[in-house]
Amino acid sequence: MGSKHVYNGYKAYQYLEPGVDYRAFEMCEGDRVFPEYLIPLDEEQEARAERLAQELICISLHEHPVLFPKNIARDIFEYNREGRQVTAYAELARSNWDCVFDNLMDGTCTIHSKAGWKWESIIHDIGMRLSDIAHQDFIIKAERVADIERAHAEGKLALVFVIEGAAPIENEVDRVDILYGLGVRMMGITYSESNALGSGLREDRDGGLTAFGKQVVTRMNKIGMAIDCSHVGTQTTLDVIEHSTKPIFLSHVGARALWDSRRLAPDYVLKACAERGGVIGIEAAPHTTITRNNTEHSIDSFMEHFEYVKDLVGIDHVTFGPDTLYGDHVALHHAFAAHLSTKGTQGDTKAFKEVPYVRGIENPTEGSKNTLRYLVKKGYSDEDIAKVMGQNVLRVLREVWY
Amino acid sequence: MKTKRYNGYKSFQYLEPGIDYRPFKLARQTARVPVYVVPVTVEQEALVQQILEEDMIISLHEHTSVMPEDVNESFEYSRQGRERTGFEGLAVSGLDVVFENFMDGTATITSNAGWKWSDVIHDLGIRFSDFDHQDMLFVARTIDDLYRAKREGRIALVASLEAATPIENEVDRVDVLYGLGVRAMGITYSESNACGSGLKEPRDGGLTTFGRQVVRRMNQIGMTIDTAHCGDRTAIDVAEVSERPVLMSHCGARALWNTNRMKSDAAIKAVAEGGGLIGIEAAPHTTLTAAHPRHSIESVMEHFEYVANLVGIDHVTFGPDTLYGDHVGLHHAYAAQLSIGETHQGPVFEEVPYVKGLENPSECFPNIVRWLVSHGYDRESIRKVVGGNALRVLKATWAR
Repeated sequence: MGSKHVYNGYKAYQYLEPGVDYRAFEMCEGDRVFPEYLIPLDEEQEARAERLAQELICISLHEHPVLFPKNIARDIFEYNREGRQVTAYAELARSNWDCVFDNLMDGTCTIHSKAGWKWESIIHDIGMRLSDIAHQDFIIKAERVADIERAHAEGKLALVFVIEGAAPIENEVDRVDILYGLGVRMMGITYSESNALGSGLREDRDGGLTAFGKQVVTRMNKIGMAIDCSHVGTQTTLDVIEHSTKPIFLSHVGARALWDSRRLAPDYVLKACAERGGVIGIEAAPHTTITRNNTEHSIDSFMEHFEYVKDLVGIDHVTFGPDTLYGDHVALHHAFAAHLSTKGTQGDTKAFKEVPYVRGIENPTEGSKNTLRYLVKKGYSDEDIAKVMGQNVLRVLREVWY
Repeated sequence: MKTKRYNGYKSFQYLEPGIDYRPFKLARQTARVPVYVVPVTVEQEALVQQILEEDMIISLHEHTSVMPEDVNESFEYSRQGRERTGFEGLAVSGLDVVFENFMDGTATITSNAGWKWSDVIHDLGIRFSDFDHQDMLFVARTIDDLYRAKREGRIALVASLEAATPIENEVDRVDVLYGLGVRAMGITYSESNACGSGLKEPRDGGLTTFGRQVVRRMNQIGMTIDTAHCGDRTAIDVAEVSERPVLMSHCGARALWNTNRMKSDAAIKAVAEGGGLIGIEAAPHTTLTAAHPRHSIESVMEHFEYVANLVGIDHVTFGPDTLYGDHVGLHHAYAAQLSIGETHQGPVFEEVPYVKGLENPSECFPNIVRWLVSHGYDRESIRKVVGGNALRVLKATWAR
């Protein structure tokens, strides 16, 4: 974060009347739902962390920076069906992020359908979020690297819009262009379920990138849309890396070597991604990046994944894609288990204990602080911290984006 | 005039024609027809250039796309949903801000009748994806963007839809369109929709209940309202119900030419009374007059002077509604979707092959300024009618 965030107190949709123009829900307390945990630093480290937070461009490669209802079990389906999600302005203003990759409603985009992922629904979600953001100027939409740099320089926060899986494009390659024109700058090839492009990570067999999938990858390369394979099956991911003429992202993953689940990436996939110049973001959504050493999901197990991946592929190819949100994420997973394919992709569910939240990396605000604090505490150099916190991502974006 | 920062970019040049999209032979953007320059003296031309250089030049209504040279290919072209933008032409247009109205009634990508929500989104997305790969044109979202365009030698495009037909009965679709970048929208096209009556209808029931909700939502969110294609009653209702000024972006005076495409004095006055703005139209065979029945800049400027006299110089501007290509040919090909028959009926007139002096977006404003200068309009009045009035209305209707 370059300077103090220029947030003036704007509240989501404040130009409309709640209850009259839209249905209002009782919202959770943002970044204060669960007790905050900050990695303890000594005075010198604290000062260094604060300096670096100011100087560095800090980018989160994967989040859902919106507020959720206080009572998820009761309200979540209705909240999502309204298609009017609440951007967490105040909470983001309290974070160190200069740029956040915003993944919108992903598998829970059930505005017009039960199963989600409809073209009409993702357009609605994009348009609705942007209609709100257009009424203030702390958060800006990032379409070029210059926008991210400007956000840092001006105390703003740049959102990069991402669609986590290409199912909504069906078999229409021009929909890549349409999404690009509407502001989307990264797309996942598949979500955890297969689609016309290839296999998702939950499938038992992976037939690889399809003919249509190859057309889409080519179009994404030509138009300048970044490619993400976080939720894609391993063979399909390898095919994408091979077919793409540009580096790709694995925006929110971990190492399968540390915890045997389909959700996490095997070493050969991580290496293939890095070998072609790509960047890997470490994931922190509940019950993903646990390890045999740390079966209780927290920032400790999360950082074990970071260290492992960093050692495997090098400091130039790793970053953080925490995949957090503002609200009870565990409850959300329960409510949306089917849509998020959590069953069958978490590994041996008898071998770990469920946590109520992921301590230390519970939401985007806390995550922005502790990722930096961890690197400082471990004694990483300024240059390496700069790389991990954002320069690696910028390097790929400069190559991939217009 | 202000040199725009154009580097030769051609539409979709990051894709391969023939492989990624179907190519068409396109109409020329400049000198498609003989160039006509409104006659002025050497001193007057110097003043014209100074005005174009210094003042905000805003077209309240255009279609900046390039059509196929062969008008018979228009349907296939439209069906592809990949209209090319006239970057080369716009670079020499003198425009700082242009209200771009996309495919309007010709948005026949997945339907014959047009105006489908998915097709409108498709058109917006594809055109925006093209704009995103160059630096001369950009989509304006704030008032600052408009001034920035002038300062930086760029062109700000105000994304506008000519009708709310695609929103069906979903008021939240106003928000979605706004978020995607639309900053102005018509209430109806020439045909009625859920919001009210279009100008082609024999009876006009006025703004509907849903239409009132839409007007309210547009006021709240900061989307400028346009009633150019509405029936008179609907247009008057909108002007009365709206808490912010309203545009009639491209029309003329029925007092001069008695067709339903033109607007009654009452409708024009209602818009002005609300602080709004009337843009004079120049699409072929619209703003004709008895004195100038062969459509040209002379006919159009007669409408301009009539409206200026009726409501004052603060409430009139120009929304030429031109495009790059054979506009007359397109009207023939798309007669049904554009309701040409039903809206050009009235006094007998002789068809022209093109509107001399206002043939395409590049020709319009330099000629309009020449005409105003040579007819003795003072600088302040010219400044108002070529952009100052539009700026005022946008400041009063946009959120920021």
